[in-house]
Amino acid sequence: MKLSGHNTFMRKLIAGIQAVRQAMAVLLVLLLTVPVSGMADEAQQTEYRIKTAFLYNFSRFVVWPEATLQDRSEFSLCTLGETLFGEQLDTLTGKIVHNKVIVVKHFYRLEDALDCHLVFIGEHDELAETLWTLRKQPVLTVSNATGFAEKGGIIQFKLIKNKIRFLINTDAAKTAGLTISSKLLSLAISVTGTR
Amino acid sequence: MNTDRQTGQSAHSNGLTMQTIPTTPTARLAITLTRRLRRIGAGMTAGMLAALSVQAATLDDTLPDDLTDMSMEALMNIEITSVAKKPQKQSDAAAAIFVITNDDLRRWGVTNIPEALRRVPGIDVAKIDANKWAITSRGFNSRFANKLLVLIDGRSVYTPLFAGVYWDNQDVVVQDVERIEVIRGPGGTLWGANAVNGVINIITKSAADTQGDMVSVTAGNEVKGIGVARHGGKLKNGIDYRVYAKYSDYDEAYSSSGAHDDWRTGQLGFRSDWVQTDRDSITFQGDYYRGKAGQQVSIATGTAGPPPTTINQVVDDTETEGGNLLFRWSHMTTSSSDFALQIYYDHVGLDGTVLYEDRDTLDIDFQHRFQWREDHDVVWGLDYRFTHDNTDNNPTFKLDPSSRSVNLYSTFIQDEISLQDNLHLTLGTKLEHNDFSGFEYQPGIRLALGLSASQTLWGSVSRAVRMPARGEQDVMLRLVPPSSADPGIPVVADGDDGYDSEVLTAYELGYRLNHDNIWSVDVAVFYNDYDKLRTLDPSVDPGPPPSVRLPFDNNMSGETYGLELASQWQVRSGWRLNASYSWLDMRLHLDNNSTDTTSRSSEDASPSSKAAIWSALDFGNNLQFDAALRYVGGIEVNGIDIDSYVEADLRLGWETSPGLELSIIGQNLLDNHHPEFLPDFINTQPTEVERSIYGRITWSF
Repeated sequence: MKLSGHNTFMRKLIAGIQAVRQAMAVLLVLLLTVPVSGMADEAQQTEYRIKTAFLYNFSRFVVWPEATLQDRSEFSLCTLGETLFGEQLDTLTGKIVHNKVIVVKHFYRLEDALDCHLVFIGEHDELAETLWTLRKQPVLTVSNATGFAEKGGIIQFKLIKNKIRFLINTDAAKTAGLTISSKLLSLAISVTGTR
Repeated sequence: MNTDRQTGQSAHSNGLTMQTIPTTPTARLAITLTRRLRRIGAGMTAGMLAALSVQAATLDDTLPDDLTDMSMEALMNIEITSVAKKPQKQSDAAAAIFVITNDDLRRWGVTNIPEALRRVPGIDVAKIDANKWAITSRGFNSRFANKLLVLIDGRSVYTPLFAGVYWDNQDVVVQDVERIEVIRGPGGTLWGANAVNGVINIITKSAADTQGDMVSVTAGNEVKGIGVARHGGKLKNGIDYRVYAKYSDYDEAYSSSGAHDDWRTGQLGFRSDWVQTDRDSITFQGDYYRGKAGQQVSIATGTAGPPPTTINQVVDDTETEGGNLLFRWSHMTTSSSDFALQIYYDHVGLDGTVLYEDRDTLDIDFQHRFQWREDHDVVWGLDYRFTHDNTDNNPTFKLDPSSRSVNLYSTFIQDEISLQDNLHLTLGTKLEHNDFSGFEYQPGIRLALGLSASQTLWGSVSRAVRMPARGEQDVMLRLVPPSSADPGIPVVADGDDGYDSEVLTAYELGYRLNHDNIWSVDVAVFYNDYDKLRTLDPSVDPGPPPSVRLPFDNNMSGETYGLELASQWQVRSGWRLNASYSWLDMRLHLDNNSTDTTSRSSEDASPSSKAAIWSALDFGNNLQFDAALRYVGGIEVNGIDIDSYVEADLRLGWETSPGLELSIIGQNLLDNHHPEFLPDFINTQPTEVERSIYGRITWSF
């Protein structure tokens, strides 16, 4: 293949790029001035409805140490910090997992959440500290936070192409004394740690 | 909860309909089209024909009240989209669409893109030789068919040289294709020039969906060998990627005098997808290929006057080399507004005895979509394309100038308006400026009416143009004259600077029925009214030396009528039957002043009818049996008859263990060999398609 002509190409390319750059500047102005109506909530609501169903499934497909189930009369599914679940999560109240009735609780202080079976960690300033505190507790930690699973969280939600998927850190689960079913593992987009 | 059309819509007013998620096989029944037909590339087209496996469950209303009853697999497939981004329900789709899924590609035993298109109604696929195809939508078939736009992950793959596609250069790893969307009818409003009779959108999977390793080997008599290796992984920073290599080697086809058309192509590529936040997704991908495609081509040599023109037969390999890089950033500004920026660079190199092309293209595309008031879904965009070519003149094929840069600017806007819950009106237009014919506008109007939960009626009127190809303005192509002509005089097809765009006004009507995902019918009828179609009006240039000139001109009009039907029947779980049928009638009229003798012959170059039926049967969990019968009516190409044919394809697939699949595939089983088409403009030797049997092992780990 001949490669001649590329110099002309480059020259014209540069001219083209300059033209495009100007166009982009105009465009940006346009973009910023285009009115957008806010209908954001609906998608978000759907998202959290689905995440609610996932939390329910996580509760079913993770095995807690016998003691933590026997000792307590209920299955505590908690949120920690601000979350966008709204009232969605409360629809799980009364459902049965591991022969226990689910009770949904919302906490803002970590100390209150230590007895939960599952904690969904929302907006939270001290994520690393929280995970450190919970690391040896039989608590299934779940969050949307970027890098959550890498930092020692057990299950991290991730939106991929508008679909909800999740990552699992099996080492963190093991440290916490939890066993994650192979079904859950097989559905995760990535599993860090040993299976 | 919803504020707009969704709530009252009969299709979803009872909460029961959407308890089940359609499985992939039935997904096609519920084809949904987004409010905008077009989104850039794969990332965005996810919303386009929309998560085919789950379209029914994409809308919040349609979700069951209690999601905890759903399986996790089903939950993972629900698209979280805003009102505006919601894929359109079937009742909204106002275009003739056929979708080929990844599962179809596997079950049809497809090894390359043209093979995948054979069963699609309205699409003609005919082989000229082992490495050349004539593929078109709704008529006007030729190797240089120019009214069909083909995109691979948002990258246009037609060459502006003749506004057609080098099909042998367009390779993909079939296993990594998510789907192929075939949209018949004009798409000019959104896609612009060349989307006159149809658009084919080939969409590969996101790198997140191709994690792990895959090795596939295919070998047989005609497919001598195809090897694919792919590795998918994830970088520390969360970027998913895949890299692949593919090598294909195809045997020559049949010709009593020797075919010389065996071909090989090798391709390397990668794709990375970065979805770090809920709002942004970034895709970066690229491919590089090299190939050698054999041919035997007849060339007229000798100048005018004695000694007379001689016809030389040359056997040679056309060498191809090319590559591309594509970057796409999609950003959701709010849930009802998003934009996407796509930039790609594409290089095509082709070096053959006649055709030579060395082309670089840069394309920058921007699209923005937003909800306006409650009933308007607006999408608009800007596109700039710069393409520069070098050609190598030879006595048969010359371009003047031999090197040319061409700019294409375009903008479009489309508004989809919900007039009522079940009535959607789409208005839009594209405005384009190209260096050949100046400004072009391509407006369209579409209306979709949901008759009931399972039935849709749609109609459209649109204008589309096929802008001049570089060749049509600049080429001097020495033709091999018919034997009746005076052998002493060269015959030259001549580009003409005055050559203008071909123009279409299309009227379409469609009906779609989907009965509980058990049975579906999709019918489309169209009437296309063309003007300024290409002609070659011969004139004698007395010289000296004397020659016959065939300048490209626009002296033909015409109408085409057609009907296309696709149907699917889920006989029982694990057994599906499909059928497709197309009928086409073309009537072309030369203008009074035209002396053209050849162009009207495209009337007969497409079969007036073509049909296919196929069955997909599962035995237990791991054994699959697929069978197809295809009929293609007789055609006449440049005065030579090609008989109708019926062919059968069979496949037996066995998944011996998870991830390991063995299959044996037979294509074109009913004949030792059969002809399908003949060359045009460049006299390559046509060959016949032979019976092909091959085995395939695919191991994913």
